[in-house]
Amino acid sequence: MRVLVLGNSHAASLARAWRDAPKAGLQMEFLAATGLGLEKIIEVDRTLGRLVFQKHRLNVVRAAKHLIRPPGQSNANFVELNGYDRIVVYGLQLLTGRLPGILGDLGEGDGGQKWFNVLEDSRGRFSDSAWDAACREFARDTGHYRFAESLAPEIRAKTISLPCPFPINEHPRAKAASQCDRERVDQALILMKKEMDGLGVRFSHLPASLTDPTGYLSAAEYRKDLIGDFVHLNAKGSNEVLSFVAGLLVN
Amino acid sequence: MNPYQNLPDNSFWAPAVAQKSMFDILEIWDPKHKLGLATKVATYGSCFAQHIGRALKQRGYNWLVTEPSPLMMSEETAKKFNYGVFSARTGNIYTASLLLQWLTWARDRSKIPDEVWVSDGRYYDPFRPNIEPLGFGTREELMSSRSAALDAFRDSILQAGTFVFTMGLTESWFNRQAGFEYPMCPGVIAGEYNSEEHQFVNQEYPQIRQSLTKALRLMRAMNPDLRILLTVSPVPLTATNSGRHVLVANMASKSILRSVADSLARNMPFVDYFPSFEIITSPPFRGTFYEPNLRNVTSAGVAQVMRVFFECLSKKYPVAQRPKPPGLKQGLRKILGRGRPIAASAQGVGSSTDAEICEEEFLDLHRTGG
Repeated sequence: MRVLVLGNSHAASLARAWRDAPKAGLQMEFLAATGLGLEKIIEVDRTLGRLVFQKHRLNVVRAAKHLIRPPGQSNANFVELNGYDRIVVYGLQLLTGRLPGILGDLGEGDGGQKWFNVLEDSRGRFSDSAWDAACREFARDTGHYRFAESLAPEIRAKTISLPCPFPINEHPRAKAASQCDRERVDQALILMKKEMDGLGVRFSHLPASLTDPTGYLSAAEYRKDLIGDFVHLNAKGSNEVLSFVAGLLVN
Repeated sequence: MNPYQNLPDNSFWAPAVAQKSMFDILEIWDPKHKLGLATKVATYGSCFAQHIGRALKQRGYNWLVTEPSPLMMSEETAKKFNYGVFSARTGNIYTASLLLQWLTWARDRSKIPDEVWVSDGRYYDPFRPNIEPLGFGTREELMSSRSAALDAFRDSILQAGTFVFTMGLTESWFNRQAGFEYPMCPGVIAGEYNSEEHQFVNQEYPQIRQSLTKALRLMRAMNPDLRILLTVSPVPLTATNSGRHVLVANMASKSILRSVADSLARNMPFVDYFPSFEIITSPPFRGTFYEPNLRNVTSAGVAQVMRVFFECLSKKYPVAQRPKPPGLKQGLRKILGRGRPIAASAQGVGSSTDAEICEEEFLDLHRTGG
């Protein structure tokens, strides 16, 4: 089964796991750029079933310097999607689309801290329907949704979408995050799944063991050797994800 | 020799009004108080008050919103949930007595009645019947949300430098036994009207003046530096329950509100009046600023009102700083070229989210006569 993984730095750690220990029966290729880079440097041509590189942006988008391309396509202008049996969107996390704006709204500096404050303050403040509406819009504004939306349904390959730990710096507040916060994350993920279902895209959560109890950060065990990095997974964690993704692909 | 001989041109109708283009009638307000870019401004009241908050934000002034929407909510959806419409999620406060009720409840929650309206399994707040598009899921959720709104309303008074209140109606609905006021007649948006329980009161000048005076004094007790800017909504009544022709009832209502505003602005040094009502309704403007329904104010009318507001303000109190450039949020969005506007961000006049939220318009849905 030939699989294309689209993503960001999280996909890069998956690529490393694949390089170190490929799974039998799969041919996994990667197209990934840091941060929001991938969305900026490629466009989906649904008619031809291609991901087309935006040449003029390749030179100006910093993320392009850290671009991982499928093997043998380092100079190609496009990636032929219909050559793949499955497409996996991984790591274009829930908060990608709006986090910069939201943190901007919260002011300079420690946006992460403020984000948690906001979540804590939100307890009882918003009705369920307001929160649902916000989460739904938020889900639709993520890289996950936008890629999934642009790839389905014309692109023949089935798309699977997976979020990753949220890109927020660790903070004591996060460690002590309330049940309310946890419920909010769950609610957002459930709504996101619903939106993806509507597109005909399979949406899977990462196994809970890979994130910490708050659901925001990677679990301590899987980020031991990543100093100052609380959202990516180490080799062990990435291997777990790879096994998980492989399981999804064959089932 | 008589006192009129040395008066300036703007004291005479011909040079100040009749011989001018309506768009040049600008210097009609002499602001009592400075309103700088840093002054926190809270806005509440009738439908028309919504424009003031938006315009302030658009011009880089500090419009105070103490009850923001969920951060990830789009501006369009936030408006449906009444976020970013007024400084807190009170819904329209049409009358002075309703403002007083909000203030009383913000200070003492024990006085809030436990009345809740239920319709099709959803719960509606009698004091903010249109605040949630589909009502609340549970009574607890409703109470919690109202409590949050009261907190936010109180906070906005404590934090604001200027409190803008747009007076809208004299006609009001009360609970006959308990004495509390509803913003809308029960049964219009939700709830059930019961003539035994619900009482119509078309408030008169003394009652309105007394309520507003009390309300302003309460606010000053909470925040001694607070300045008040009163306006009267130029939006006519959707309907009247007074038994008079709506045109006559409207003129009576607006005249009373205008008189109360005038009296308080003349007699209270911390109170000012801004003549948005005059800009829209006066003869020189020939009804130009009304939509074809002769009720809603056009975006050009709103723009003219706000032009006068800012020109008069900056003439007396020149603004040293330039309005804020687009924030980080807007800048990033531009770079990314993605995403919808996030709630409570600046909106241009005439944008899709500019339409007023007017609960009173629900009255039109109940019109059966031909």
